[in-house]
Amino acid sequence: MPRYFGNTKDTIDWNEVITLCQVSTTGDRNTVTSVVDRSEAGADGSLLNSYRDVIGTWENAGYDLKDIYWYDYYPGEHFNIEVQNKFAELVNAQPLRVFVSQVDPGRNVPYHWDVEDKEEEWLKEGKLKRWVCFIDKPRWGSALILENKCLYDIEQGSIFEWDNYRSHHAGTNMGTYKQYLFHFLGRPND
Amino acid sequence: MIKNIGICDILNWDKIIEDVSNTKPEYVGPSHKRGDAVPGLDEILDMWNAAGYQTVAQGGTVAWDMFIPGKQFDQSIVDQWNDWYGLDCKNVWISRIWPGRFAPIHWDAHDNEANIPECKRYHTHIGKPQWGHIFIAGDQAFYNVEQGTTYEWENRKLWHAGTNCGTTPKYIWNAW
Repeated sequence: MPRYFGNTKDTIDWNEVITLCQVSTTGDRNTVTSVVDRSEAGADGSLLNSYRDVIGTWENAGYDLKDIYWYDYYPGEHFNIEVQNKFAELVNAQPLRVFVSQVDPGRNVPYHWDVEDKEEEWLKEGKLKRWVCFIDKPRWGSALILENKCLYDIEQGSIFEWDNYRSHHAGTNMGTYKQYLFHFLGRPND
Repeated sequence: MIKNIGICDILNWDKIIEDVSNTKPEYVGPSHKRGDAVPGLDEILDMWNAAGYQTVAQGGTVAWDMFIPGKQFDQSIVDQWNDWYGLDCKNVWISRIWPGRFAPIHWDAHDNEANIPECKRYHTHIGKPQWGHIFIAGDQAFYNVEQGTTYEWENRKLWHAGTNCGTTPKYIWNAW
């Protein structure tokens, strides 16, 4: 079960991060096609099977795969790297994969876990942990389903620690504002 | 204000779902379109339009299936449900949302809207809790709700929405 970790509102100006993502024209647009292309080109063995499993689950459930897309924005590219550094200090972990996700109204990023290309390499150096931060004000209709919980109407800046970095999750947006979440996969310092 | 009014466990909801799933829905919502003379409709459509929503027919993700008593399921089910809660709801339907589909933020603007008095509305979670089945009404998100649980809404015109980011179709009982 996700565990409430704390709040970042006095440490990080999330409104500024959101504004930068909103005006950016270079966000990474992820689609099933782009994920497939990337994985088929760069992954092999169990990693490739993991990608195929996630997409196969969506196909079997009847999703129209062309409906699925979301955007990712990265520290140092789309917003200040200091945001990542401050967050790393708060959760006391070394950043490995950090991004802001954007899910538009009428879009789901359905049931999945985040297959990581470098997972094996990272695990050789120690355990992994993941956190999510609700960087926007609560927005009607915007929810994150994580493990067995629906996180909804969450105070801006709130951090939740995942039970497992591979947990299944889904972002969904039935409202009228874009949904922005900050994701941090890292290696705990202790 | 939304109130849990208990679990209706006299009906075999799994069987009801199975039966409706073997029928063709009465229609696929939304049934109204721009230009229909329904009070309140324009506000909803303006909101959807500004947020970028499109129906499945337009290439988007907005669609839900509608099942009606006396057509796709038996009126006796409605009678039993009303009896159980001591209600007399005349407008009842089962909605279904497929994975990836949306009933975005709206309230149920009705053809006869101008002549409907203010009244309460109800919804029942007739499916077993399933990953990714989410329903929002007012300021409350309903997730992992026990099968058969019914909620009473203070007003029929409450804003609500549903979607499905799981892997099985979602069924909700609606009544007023």
